Amino acid sequence: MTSKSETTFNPWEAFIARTESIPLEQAKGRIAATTIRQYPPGIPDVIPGMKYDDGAIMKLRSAIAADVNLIGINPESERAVDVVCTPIETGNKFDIQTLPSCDIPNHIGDEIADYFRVSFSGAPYFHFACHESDPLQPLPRGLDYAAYAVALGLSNTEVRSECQSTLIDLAIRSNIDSTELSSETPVTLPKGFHLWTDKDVCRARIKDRLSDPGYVTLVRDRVSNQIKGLLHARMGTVARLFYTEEWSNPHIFSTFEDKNFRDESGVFFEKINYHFGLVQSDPVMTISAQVLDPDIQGGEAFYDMMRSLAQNVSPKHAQLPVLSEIPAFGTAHILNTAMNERIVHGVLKNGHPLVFCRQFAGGLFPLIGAKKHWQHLLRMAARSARDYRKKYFIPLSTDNPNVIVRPNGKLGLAVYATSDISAGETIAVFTGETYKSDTALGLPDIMRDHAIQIGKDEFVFGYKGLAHRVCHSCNPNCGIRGRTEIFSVRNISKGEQITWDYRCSENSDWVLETCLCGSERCTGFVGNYQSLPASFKAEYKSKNMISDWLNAL
Amino acid sequence: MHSVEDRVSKNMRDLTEKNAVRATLIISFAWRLIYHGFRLIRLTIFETKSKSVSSYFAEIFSQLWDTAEHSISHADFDLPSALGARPVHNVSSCLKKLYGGKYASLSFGGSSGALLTILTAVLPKLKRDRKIILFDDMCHQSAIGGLIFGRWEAIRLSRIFDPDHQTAQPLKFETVRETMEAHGADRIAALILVLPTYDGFRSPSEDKKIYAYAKSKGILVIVDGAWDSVRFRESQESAPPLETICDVWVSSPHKRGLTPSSLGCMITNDKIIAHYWDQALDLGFRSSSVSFVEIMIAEHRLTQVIVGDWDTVFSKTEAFAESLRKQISDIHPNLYVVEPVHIQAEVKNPAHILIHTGKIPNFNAQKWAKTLAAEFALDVEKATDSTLLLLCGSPEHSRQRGRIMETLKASFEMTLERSCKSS
Repeated sequence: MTSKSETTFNPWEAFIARTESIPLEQAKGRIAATTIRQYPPGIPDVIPGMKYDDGAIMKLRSAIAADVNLIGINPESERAVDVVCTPIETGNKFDIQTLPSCDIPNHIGDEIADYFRVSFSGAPYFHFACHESDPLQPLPRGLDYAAYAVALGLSNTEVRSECQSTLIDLAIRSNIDSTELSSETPVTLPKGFHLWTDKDVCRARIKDRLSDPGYVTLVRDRVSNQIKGLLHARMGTVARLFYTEEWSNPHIFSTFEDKNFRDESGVFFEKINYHFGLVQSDPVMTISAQVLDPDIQGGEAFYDMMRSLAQNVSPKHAQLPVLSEIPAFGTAHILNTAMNERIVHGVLKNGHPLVFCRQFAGGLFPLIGAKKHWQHLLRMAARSARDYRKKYFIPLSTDNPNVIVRPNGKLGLAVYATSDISAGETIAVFTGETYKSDTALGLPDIMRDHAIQIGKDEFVFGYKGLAHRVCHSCNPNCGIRGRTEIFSVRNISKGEQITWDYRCSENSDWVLETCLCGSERCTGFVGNYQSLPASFKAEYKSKNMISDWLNAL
Repeated sequence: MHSVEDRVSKNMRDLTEKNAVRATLIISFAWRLIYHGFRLIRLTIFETKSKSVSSYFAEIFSQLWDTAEHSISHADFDLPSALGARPVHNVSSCLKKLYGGKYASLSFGGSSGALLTILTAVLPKLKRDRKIILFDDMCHQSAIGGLIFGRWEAIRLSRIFDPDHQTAQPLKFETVRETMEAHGADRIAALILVLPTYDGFRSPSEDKKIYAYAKSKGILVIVDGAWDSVRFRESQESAPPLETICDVWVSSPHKRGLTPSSLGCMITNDKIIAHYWDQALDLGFRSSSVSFVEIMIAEHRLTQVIVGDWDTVFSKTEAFAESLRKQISDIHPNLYVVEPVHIQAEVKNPAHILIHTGKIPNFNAQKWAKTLAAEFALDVEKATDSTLLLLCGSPEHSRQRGRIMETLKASFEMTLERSCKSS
């Protein structure tokens, strides 16, 4: 910077950009984020937006050597300077900013609500209408509108019928023209009903959420200044979140019965306590991600949003656990991956997992590893995660002590014998909650691959112990005893892989199109019990390898 | 010509007649001064080592200041601005008389505050269609703050740095013109120059050419004249009229004792700039609870300067600076004062003494500065490896003439001795 520097630069952009502290020796070519100067005279040697060159570094180095009091060098490390994390490019389309909820002015609150309104007006949310008696509770899919209408006093059958058909029609239209539905849409609703997407209703709902302590990360188009995506992290008690998020709607942690947990909150809290060890009054963080712009979905901009959020979260909030409905697909899977510390136990009505993270810091904070003041939190988070895994991922007492889980290339994780196992020994038992569904395909993805069928419409989601890690084989060495127990049907040698034939319990429409077991008698695919060749059925029956519920058929 | 006392007391009389300053408060103020003054003297004589002296001094200072602040009715003062004409604007009139220019205003937070006001609130409105500002690389951090918070794109005008004398040469007209042409003069909103530099050098003929060219291209020239607050003492050759070098001039009169240190000033001939300036002041660049005591002090001092009562003081100070300049080589034969000719400048500020130490082997001027501060309680303005900048602008300096020279000698010898030992 001592030589001629006649290129145009933008000090403001560098001043507000994400920064990192690096050693002075590594600053060459990086863009300065702060001023560095002696005072007096207060004439900066380094200015935000300017590139560090040899001259500038040498000048600062000699000033440090002469023990000159330089202002602007990171006090934690005398030679550390703040630089912009990534070079500012002219083509950068977005501005990302994280605001504490308490600092969000009313007009930005409206803007956020309107953005949510557009985002929520289509699938998979189905939040198309609500009643004025309960404006913060949108009508969920599967609700009996007629019953709702009765409850509202619409006793006339014709009126009820009209009410129901109008709402169903609206539901269909909202799915088709998701982003176009607005308060201006010419829809005649039954008396007392409002579009959930009604501007004022939506604003009231979102502002209610913004009133909780938390943060909003906004992505705006640099040219139009319009919101293109957002992350909303907020703090609340488990009870507060239950009543203000959509978690009280049917199917959450459910046995797939259509019931609204709003009326059975006790069940919900009991399950939350069972799975996550949280009680109603425990403070937790939750995160919502809404991104409509395809340039942000799954892109670097989304990581930038998460980094921005992580950089602004206070240490107090960073140590709270996260309980959040985050899809395992789309852009949000990035967030899901960051936050998901363990197998998810709950699935919402829309198929979204309810993820849990022991500490907020453990999920987002690795993104800002360069921030030294967070290092201790990262260490704490890592230690906490280890302890947590230790607590929850140890094998069950029903697991055979002579088996171990380890990776097996094409099969993913598989179970192996660590010493010789005799015929008839219990290997593992599927342990978990029972879910009801007419078909395995009706189960959410996250459950389906770890469940065992135990009845015509019953499945056990076996997330604990080793049972759900045992692979399928068309020539298995184990079978099913009772309805959930895996046992050895012959002697198994040390080092041998433990397998069972999934068709010994499965009789729904679930099909694994390509079997990877590699045995000589592989059938090429894994279907249900009915699809088993007759010779297999006879052999399995003779060895008592078939689940009791299939034997009873 | 009226004496200072006549003028100031006339203002005070006017205000008193309007019941702005209540007689009881004046009496109360006087009584506190006398009562506490005696007590302070007693403590100073008989309890010199007691901590109560300093705490009592702090208390009385606080009380007197508080009384002064709250004894003034603001009803007829109005807030300072560039276009206003009510009593408080006597100070603006003083500034106009001293520095020339049609519009003048006090700024708040010194010349730093003035620069921030211009760059963040006036210029964006004045030059809506231009995005770039050229800035002198001698600019103070407040100018950089103005660039940042005004969200300007920036181009740094690098001066040629004289490595031997560790100071920057004045900007050449050709350098500025080439830069303007390279980036498109019609995209450039303003040029910020620092005249003179922190070390006190400038080239007025180049400055005039730069302004003429910038003006022809519609580029506003802002001059940071923080160190030029007694330019009225200089000839037109060394300090040409403001209208020949810039559109807006800001300064820090407090650097030469003309105002309290929180005040700066802005001078312009452009009524639109003055108008936008006033709008900006109203929007928070000047508190609506300004300290009228400070403004009265500024008015008093500026009036004194105008009527010539400070001429003697200025003369003494300049004479002291000149004599000190000549005696520098007495400290050590290899020490000398950097003159304009050394760095291709045309003139220097009389109060700036830039001592060159580079001819003394293993001698570091920064260490000399540290020794001065740590062992002799004399702060210098700036030091580099081979230069030390002394400022002799305050009347206090001439009063301490003997002490300063002795201090310089003693500290130099101490530093030299330490340098020899360490080498």
